[in-house]
Amino acid sequence: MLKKALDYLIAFYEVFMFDYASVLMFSYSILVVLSLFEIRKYLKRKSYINLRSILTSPHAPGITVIAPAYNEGLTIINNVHSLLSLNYPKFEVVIINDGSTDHTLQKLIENFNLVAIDYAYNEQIITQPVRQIYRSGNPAFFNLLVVDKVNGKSKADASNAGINISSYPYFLCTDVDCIIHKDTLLKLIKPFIEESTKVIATGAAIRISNSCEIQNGFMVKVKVPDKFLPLFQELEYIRAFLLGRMAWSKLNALMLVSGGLGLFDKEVAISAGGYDHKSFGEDMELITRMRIYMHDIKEKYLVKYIPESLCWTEVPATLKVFGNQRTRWSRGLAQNLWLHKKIIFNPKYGIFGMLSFPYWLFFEWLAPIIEATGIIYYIYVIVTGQINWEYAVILLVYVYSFSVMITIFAVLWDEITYKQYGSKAEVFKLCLAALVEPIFYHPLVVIFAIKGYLYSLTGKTLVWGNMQRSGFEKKLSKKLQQFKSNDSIKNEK
Amino acid sequence: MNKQNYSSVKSFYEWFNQYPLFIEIAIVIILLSVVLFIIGNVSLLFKRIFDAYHDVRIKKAKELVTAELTADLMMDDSLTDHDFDKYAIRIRELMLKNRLFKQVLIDQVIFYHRNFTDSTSRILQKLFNQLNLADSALKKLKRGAWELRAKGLKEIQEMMTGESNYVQLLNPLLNDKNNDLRIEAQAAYIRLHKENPFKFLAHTTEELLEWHQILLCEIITNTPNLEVPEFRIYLRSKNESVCSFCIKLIEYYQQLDAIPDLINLLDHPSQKIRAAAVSLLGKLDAEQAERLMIAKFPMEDLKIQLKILESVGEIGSGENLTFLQTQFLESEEFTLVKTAGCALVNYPFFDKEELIQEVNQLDDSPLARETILNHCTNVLIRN
Repeated sequence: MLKKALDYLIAFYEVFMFDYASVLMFSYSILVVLSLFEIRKYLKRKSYINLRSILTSPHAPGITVIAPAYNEGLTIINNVHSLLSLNYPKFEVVIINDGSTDHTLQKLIENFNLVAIDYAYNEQIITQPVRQIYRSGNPAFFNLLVVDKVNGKSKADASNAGINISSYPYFLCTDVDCIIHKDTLLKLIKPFIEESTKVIATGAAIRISNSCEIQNGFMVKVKVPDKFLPLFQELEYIRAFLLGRMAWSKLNALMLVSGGLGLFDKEVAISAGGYDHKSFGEDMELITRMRIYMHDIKEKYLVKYIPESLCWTEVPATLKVFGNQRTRWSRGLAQNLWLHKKIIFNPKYGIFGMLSFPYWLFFEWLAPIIEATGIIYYIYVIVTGQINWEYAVILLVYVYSFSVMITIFAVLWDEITYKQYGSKAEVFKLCLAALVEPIFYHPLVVIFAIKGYLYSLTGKTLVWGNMQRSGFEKKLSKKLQQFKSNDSIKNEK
Repeated sequence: MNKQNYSSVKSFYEWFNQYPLFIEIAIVIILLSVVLFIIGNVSLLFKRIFDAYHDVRIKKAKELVTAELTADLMMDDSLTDHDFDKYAIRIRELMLKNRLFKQVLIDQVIFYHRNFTDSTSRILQKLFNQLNLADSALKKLKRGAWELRAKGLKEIQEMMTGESNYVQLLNPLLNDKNNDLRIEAQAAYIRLHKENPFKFLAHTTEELLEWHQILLCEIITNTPNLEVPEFRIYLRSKNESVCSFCIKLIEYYQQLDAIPDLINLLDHPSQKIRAAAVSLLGKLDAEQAERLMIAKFPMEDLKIQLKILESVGEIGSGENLTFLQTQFLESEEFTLVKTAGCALVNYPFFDKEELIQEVNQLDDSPLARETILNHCTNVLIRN
């Protein structure tokens, strides 16, 4: 009797696994097609529209660029210069020194001739206390504002301080160490001013800067990462940004605008409560709350994505830091889904509640668990000698071939939108990486996702690894490198 | 199909049929994925090769066209009719090479026309007509793809400025559902219509989006000798976006005659229009609007209240110091206090010290009004 029940259970599990994988693949295929339509539409319009009109217009809406900085003393000056040189007629740069323990603030004060001012700070979103606010005495940096605050142990807290102090109706949230394309503001503001429906947030593709040539905070040459982990992450980013997010953008069901680069409607962001500093995935959580807010006030809205690479960031190159990052992300996802569980299949939230949120639950959150059980089941049938090797191999090839094919199409879409890489060899390298990614990289993602879920359940705290900015380091002079090593010794002490 | 092929297909079918359905599905997906994988890779390769070839062709065409245009036409102001005809013939030969050359030529002529004035611009326009490039642009208007029609409109508006006989072609496109096509038609209308370039505003039913307004403002302010009407006549438009657009143009052209009509807009049902009207009344120093704005202040929402405070400060008549001080001292809304403070800073008869004394006499207010006042008076702070 028990054996019979077990056999039924196994049969059910096998059918479920196959059906789950097939539905997942089908949904990916739909996303590929939708993203192609959206990208084509974008490129058609881009081919003849001149964004320079915004540059000379007195009617361009103002934008505040918010960049939190924590112990960024080595690169802060170049990065701030890079932000200040963005092409846009009306913007300010707000740097939040989030209680840095290095010389970040001192360097800012010295290099930009900062003066402490008596600023009327309006704390619309509660944050850790602001210690001092600085403006530059040099008219060349009239649009720079530096906020020195007590460390809030999260980027969310620092970003909220930036939102509080921002003077313009839109704010761009980024990381101070990100390399941003000079036309980012022009491109990201466009959806806000060209749609008849209110746009509450826009995002763009983020790429990996690990092997890129960067000089004084400016991108000189884009290159495919040399190391394995960043290389696989590059593929993952291309897939996520060009396939996933473009498709969701077409459906107006986008749930995530990355913390690395996103332009937001300030009024809506504040009304929604700003970033949640307790969240492990504050960027996704903010978009979720902004969407909920818009549904609650019954106002139509859009969250848009553009298929251009406008931001380059350095990603973890070591397993430890990578693991911590992914564990945190998966924990953030689990936290967000749990926190906003009322949305799932709630028709009040439209396509967001009926499609997007359930998709994230069943195919983003659940997938690593299903995969992990699948692997365990494979081991079980091998050990017990129940495996049908022919079927097992066919099923593995089934999943593998599909996943490689999808990645190749993501690389192709990337080539269609904007040829990032100068040589064919670099694209070839990406294609080769796509062949081995499901074997070497994907299992790591699954492991760290499961770890994140376990941490969610147990409430275990996460410790960030020290992410060495190797990509930027290479570009620094020997003198600076020497300075850094001295500095890290001091910090250790 | 020969026997051997038939038997191999048959044996594949038999092999395939031996499996259960889920394995059959998996095999089909594997085959499909492999085929798509190959197609994807081949497309990547061909795209690179094609793009490189296309870039070389464009570069070559551009070099040839630019050499002809710059050396023979633009460098020579004293071009005789005979010389011009010779050059036109040579350029026509270039144009007839292929479609790519023709489009590069059109783009280059437009580019130089936009960037040069006087004789060079006239010669380029003459060349455009002589080569019948206007016909080519008009043909584009009849094409199905919106982007080609928009391109045709761009060419017409750039090269046929003031040619009113083309205007009727634009009428059907002025209210097109496609935003980008519509804006190009409106831009072309402004540049081609000699007598009344803004007539279309009276019949515009579609929304003039913010982006369109920016583009149209740029075209309007960069088109020489444009007949500018009194934009106040459009302030009563039922199309809110037209009203909003005209408010911007009234500001640009400083049309003070529009003040009474702007005052009427203070009762407009749209909050956005009311806010824009209040703001512009401030910028136009409309003292006659002050009393009405202040009367409406208590009934308005926060956004308009802030605009009223800004405008009263900007007008600076000196008659409403008490109103601003009252808002500064009594309001419990941070943004209102700050805006009132900033409005007070340059207001006639304003005494900062006296106000600080009054602030100090206030009971425990959660708002740091003195800091707000210091904020407003600090020259390093602009907002």
